[in-house]
Amino acid sequence: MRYSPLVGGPHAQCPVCRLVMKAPEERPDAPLGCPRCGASVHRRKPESLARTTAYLVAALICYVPANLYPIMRSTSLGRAQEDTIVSGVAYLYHSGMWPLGTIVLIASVVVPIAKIVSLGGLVASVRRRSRWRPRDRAATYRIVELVGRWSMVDVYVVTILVALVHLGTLANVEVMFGAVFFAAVVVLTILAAESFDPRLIWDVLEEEEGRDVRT
Amino acid sequence: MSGPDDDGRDGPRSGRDEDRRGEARSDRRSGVTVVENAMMPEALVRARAMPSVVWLIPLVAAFVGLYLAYWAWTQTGPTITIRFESAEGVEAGRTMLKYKDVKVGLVEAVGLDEDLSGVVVTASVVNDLAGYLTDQTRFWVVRAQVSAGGITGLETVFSGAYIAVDPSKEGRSARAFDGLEKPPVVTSGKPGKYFRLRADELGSIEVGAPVYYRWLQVGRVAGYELSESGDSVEVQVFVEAPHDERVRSTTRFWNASGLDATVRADGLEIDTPSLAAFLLGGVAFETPATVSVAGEVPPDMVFELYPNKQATKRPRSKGRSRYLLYFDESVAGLGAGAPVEFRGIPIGEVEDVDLAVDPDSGEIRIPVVIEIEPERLGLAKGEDELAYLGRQVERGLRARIATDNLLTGQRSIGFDFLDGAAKAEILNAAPYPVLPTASGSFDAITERVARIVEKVDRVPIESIGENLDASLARLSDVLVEVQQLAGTTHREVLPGIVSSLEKLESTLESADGLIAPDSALAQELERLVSDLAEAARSLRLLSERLETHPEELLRGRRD
Repeated sequence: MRYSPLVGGPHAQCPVCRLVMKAPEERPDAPLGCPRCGASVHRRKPESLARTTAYLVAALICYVPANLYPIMRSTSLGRAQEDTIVSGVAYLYHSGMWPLGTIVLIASVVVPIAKIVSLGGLVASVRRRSRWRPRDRAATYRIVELVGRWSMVDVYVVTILVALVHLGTLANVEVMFGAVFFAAVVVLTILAAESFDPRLIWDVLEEEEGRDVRT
Repeated sequence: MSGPDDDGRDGPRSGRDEDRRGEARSDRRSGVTVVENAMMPEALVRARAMPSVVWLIPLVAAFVGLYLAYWAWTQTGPTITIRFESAEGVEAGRTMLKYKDVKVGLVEAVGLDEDLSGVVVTASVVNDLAGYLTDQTRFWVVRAQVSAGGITGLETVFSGAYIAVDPSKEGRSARAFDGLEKPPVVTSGKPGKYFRLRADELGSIEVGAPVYYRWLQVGRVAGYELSESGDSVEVQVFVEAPHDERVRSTTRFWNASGLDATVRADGLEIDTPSLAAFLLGGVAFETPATVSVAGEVPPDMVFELYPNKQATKRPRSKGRSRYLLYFDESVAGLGAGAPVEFRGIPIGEVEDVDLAVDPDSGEIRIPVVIEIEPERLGLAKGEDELAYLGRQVERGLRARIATDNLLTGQRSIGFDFLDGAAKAEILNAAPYPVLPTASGSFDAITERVARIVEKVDRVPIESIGENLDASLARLSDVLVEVQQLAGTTHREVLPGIVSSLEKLESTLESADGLIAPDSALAQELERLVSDLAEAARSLRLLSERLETHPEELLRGRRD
């Protein structure tokens, strides 16, 4: 199977006014400006790999306290209970609400780590100039981008609970440290996915195709 | 698109960019470029800006993460194990360790002991507490508790039980502890002092029972234990500051438990400190105004815990020693517990009264064991007791039986110096030294009655009767002699007088008959004398009876 038979030229499009322009090939890394509206123009997302890596590293660091620290403390009739994400899932499973537990497990535990792993894999594959299944990799990226925001479910649940359950000593829910880190993980993975440029997947192929064409 | 992406945002306004735009236009004007190029503008190349700031994000994240890790590391204290009888209310991951209601740890695991005799609670405690975990540190589970002393731990009904910590800096550092089953009465943070009390019996005192000073609760009973010899109970009480200053060396403690009911002329008087003390028992103390100066409490001082407030008026137990007294007289009314007094001041009490036969002489004697405090008799500290008492005995110190109460017949042992007492000394025999005794001193009335009886007894009624008898007989003899004299002179001297003499004889005969032993007069006299003797005897009986049963003076004879 052959991918991308068409070779894209050294062109760029202004992200603001959609003007398509030629990008000088001699200095591929140089920052460009739109000749019509003056906006910054990039052939590829600027520093895509570095930014994605940085966001991923930050997300990975935040992932540890997000899981170790409790995300909320629920006080019911004076009995305080602090829950981390995992203990919440365990609690849901123990009380027989396993469908809900599964959803929370997937949304809060599996998805963030899957995102970090798949984005990390994408970055690594681009760095290594891999030619392995570019279409699937592009699909992976699309899924990651699509699924990203759903990880915020947990944060939304906590915020809603905090706002709703405010009955003083009877019942009370407080946000704990872990929730901040968890939100940071989600936001950072979204940022990482945004800063990754899927066109990089094809660049390797294009270069080689282009070489083929030229030769 | 997000992220810092403002490298060259100011591009369009800079003159350089204007130049470039001009270039592009000139390109278009020149028309030398290919069609494609002519239709498509070329992007402006800008100068490279600063290195990307995006790496600050993972740096910040790493910094925060490291800081958190460091913080967690400094906060994580040692892991300790506590043994309890049961883990009622203790849950792994839920139950907290608290000190002064501040969370200082969390139970991590609850397991069974190796031999299943108890539970072992594993808990992590905060680092701040690490220095206070010694073998003196105490742990106990706080649960809701309802007792006579009050309701405690009510907050745990909703929040669940927690393990309370009483940290201590003293002692060796430890990581394994034995938890208390009951909350300690006094936590180490409380200012105050412990005092030791000695009691014969514990009574109704419970751990946690209140300690009162003028019916104001100033402390609690911290604990009690049987003394090593088992003949007394040692009670530890804790008196909170500043009331601990009220306890002086002369302070007297008494058991303030329960009711103290007294019947008086104006009715029944019930004295009880409070319902709690009534149910729980309690200890009260007071520093009486005494002759001896109240000083600081010596560190190893043990106070006597008196059974009631009345008892505090009795002598204080310091050194007590036992002595034996032998009595030959009746000890009716003298029993164990009867007071031993010196001129009315109590110095001890009677321990035992018995009957003993002297194996040598076969004499029956009554030995009385007394326990006295020789210090109250003036014995100086460190002085030889027997030698001191020996000197006092030489000066005439004797024990006697005294009647305390004529109505109830209670008697006591009284010590006093007797003038002109027979010489005696202390017999140092087993089991107790024997103190010399004197015959009992009777109480005023008894004594007087006895004296009257003695006097009546001393009247020689029988001899008076005998003398009278003898005198009358002698009179009769005289008369016979007179008769004989008259008989001889009858014929010779005065025959005329004979008739008159005969008349006199007959008169005398009739008089003789009148006073003869079988005559009515003599019989009546004799009866009078015997009546008198009878009266004297019953008087003596009465006095003896009164001596043993003086109450019959009031109540009348019962049998």
